[in-house]
Amino acid sequence: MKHFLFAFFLMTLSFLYVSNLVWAQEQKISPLSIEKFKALPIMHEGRLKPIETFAQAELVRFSGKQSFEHQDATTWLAHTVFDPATASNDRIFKIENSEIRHLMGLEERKKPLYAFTELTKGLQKTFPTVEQLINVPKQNLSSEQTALLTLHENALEYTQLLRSLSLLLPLNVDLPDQYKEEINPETVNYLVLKKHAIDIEDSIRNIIDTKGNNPETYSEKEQRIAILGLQIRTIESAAEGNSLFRVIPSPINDGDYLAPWELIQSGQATWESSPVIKEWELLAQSWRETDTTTWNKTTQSLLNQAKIKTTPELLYNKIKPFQTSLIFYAFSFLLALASITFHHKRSLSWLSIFAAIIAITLEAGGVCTRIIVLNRPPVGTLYESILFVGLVAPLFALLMEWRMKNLLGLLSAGFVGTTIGLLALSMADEGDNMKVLSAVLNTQFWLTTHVLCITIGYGWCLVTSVIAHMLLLGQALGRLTKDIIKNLQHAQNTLAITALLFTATGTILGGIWADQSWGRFWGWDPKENGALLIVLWLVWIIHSRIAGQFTSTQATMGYAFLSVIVGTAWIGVNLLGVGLHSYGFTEGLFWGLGLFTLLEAGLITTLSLIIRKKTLA
Amino acid sequence: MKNAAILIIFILLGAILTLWLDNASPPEIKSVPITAQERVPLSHLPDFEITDINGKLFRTSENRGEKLILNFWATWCAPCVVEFPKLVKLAKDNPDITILFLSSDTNQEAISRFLEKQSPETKETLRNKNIIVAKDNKGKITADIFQTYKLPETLIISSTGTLAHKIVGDTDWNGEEIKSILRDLD
Repeated sequence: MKHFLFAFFLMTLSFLYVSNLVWAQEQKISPLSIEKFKALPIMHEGRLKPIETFAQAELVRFSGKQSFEHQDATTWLAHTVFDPATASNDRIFKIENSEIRHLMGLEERKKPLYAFTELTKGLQKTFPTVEQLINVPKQNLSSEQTALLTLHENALEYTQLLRSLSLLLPLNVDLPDQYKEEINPETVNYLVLKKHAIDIEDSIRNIIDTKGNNPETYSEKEQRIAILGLQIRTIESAAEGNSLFRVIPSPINDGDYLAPWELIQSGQATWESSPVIKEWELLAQSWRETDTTTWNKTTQSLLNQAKIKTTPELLYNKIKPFQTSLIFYAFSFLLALASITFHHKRSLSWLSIFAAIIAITLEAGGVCTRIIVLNRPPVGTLYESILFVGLVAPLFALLMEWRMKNLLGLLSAGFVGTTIGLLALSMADEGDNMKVLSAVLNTQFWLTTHVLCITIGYGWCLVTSVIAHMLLLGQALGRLTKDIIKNLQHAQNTLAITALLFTATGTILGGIWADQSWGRFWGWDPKENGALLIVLWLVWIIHSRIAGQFTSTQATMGYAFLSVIVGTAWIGVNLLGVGLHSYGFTEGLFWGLGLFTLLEAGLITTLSLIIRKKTLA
Repeated sequence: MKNAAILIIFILLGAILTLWLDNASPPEIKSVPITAQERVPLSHLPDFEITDINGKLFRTSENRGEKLILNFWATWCAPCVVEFPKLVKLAKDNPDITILFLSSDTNQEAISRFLEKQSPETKETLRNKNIIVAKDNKGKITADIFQTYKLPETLIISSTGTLAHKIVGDTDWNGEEIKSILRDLD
């Protein structure tokens, strides 16, 4: 009974932790509630997402962090789009490269964060260099050159953000007297001025006809008209192609969203978009004036018009299921280890089991949310395959624990969950990692059958490898009884056969998909070879063991090395950057994978030599 | 062996279920419009009124149930000037459709001068009841209601008051595509 009480205690603690994450009050930087604003949908990178996700992705892009000076990303975004004049002084640009800081003429700081206004001179100075670098192949660029290009790209994106609502924001213009009766100078914006643009242009044409092109000959009144005309043109040309902040539902194409400037300049506005534009104008005004009533009313109204509910993604953003589950996997592993150390103390075992169950539940919740949000099967990218394996592998290990009841399955679940969780954390793209798939991958059937089958196979392979490692380690340290050794050997054989079943089926299904998509079943593509490598490795070990060519220890070594084989097939072949599986190409993991292979080879060889020595002795 | 058989059955069942689900939902086909754009009608044309160049009042509320083409134009806009006679001919060929030419000119005289320059046939057709030429006063309709800032733009509105098509820029008003759109117009 007391073991369950312990477990219940952990469950309560966990629940409180997660609840705290979900229901914690937002940090009050602005007196306006940001909750409804962050739920408004925005079209970005091909999918509708809550503004919060967009804000986080943008802020991470510029500063490498999801918050800015104790403000959450959404508050920062609201400040940027509604009050760009002051926002441009926010130090959000992280420039880590000292060469670039020097080149841009920036002062050295403890934290290398700079405001857009501090960068403008440097951006102008380095623009000719960037113009030349644009045409240079990416692989030929030095790290400084890449950093400079990235900085210019980020600055361009940021200016789009600053100007995204510039058609609705009040302008500081000097209105000629003839317009002062019709236009309120306090609230004048581009849209108001644009209604008078024809009249202003007519007046400028008349001035040029009578006085020529030299503004010095104009009267003060004429100069003010000419300046106003120029200001309208400048605002328009600065906003040309600004399609970043796509928050207005398109009245023409159902399901599409447009940026305010895009809507006006592409001529897609109708009487339906007019009130929405007006509401965004109100939103901007209420933000600047801290008008709580109008802000709440307008955000609620815009939320009511939203074509999708963003609640699941907001919850996902808040809970961060994969990062949170990592903590529980680590707890589970440590508790299982403690339980083994303290002679299978039941209360610790139960705590470990519950921690693992909570971690798996969180991961399952995360995977399900991604299915709902992306409206497709859970695995479509390398990162998603890691998340999925991070769910299924610990689950399989728990199933093994259910059969073996020796805590080694539980230990495996915690270990494999923690390591894959860490791998996922390192592989996660900065910002939004819910990606829209390339056309070749966008098929529900093959994503469900081939991809899931292969990734489940990876999961079984990894659990097999972890169990094999435990067997080798336990034997080398002499900590396993004969019964446990027999039990583990039986378990790893069963796991290997199951892994073979899934990887072989997945590989064949992949061939059928390739036949349908590319017109051939097999083309010796690196990814295909990787999948075949796992199948051949498993077939080799299993058959050699059954045929008596391998001793139990040799078979265990082979199973243990499966982690390297899976790593090569799963991530390694993507590093080659060749073949038809171009959507899976990755960079920068070569040395990590190489080191892992060397460590594994060293560890497995050392353990087997110790076992051999002990056997001979 | 028994376990392996169960697993194979599960995989096959999963494959069959997914294939069935995949086929159950028809593939999403998105057409790429060239001049006109398809849309799902949402709300109805808002009420507004305007006095035409002859002093006659036009109210959308009084013309419910009639097909309407709303053309935003100006005499200084080259493509608008080019398409104007084509739209007038369209009105002649389709007496059941009302065409409202809403000009962004600041000066009504400019409109009158422009109309005077038209061919005798066009001028004759302009007398038809289904053609209304009006000057929008300081963008109150063009900009405030329809948010039109680039000319020409044309809205084709069904008799139920919903937007059937929006055409940005000039188009071949006497071409087959427009004829087809007007044939299908409720």
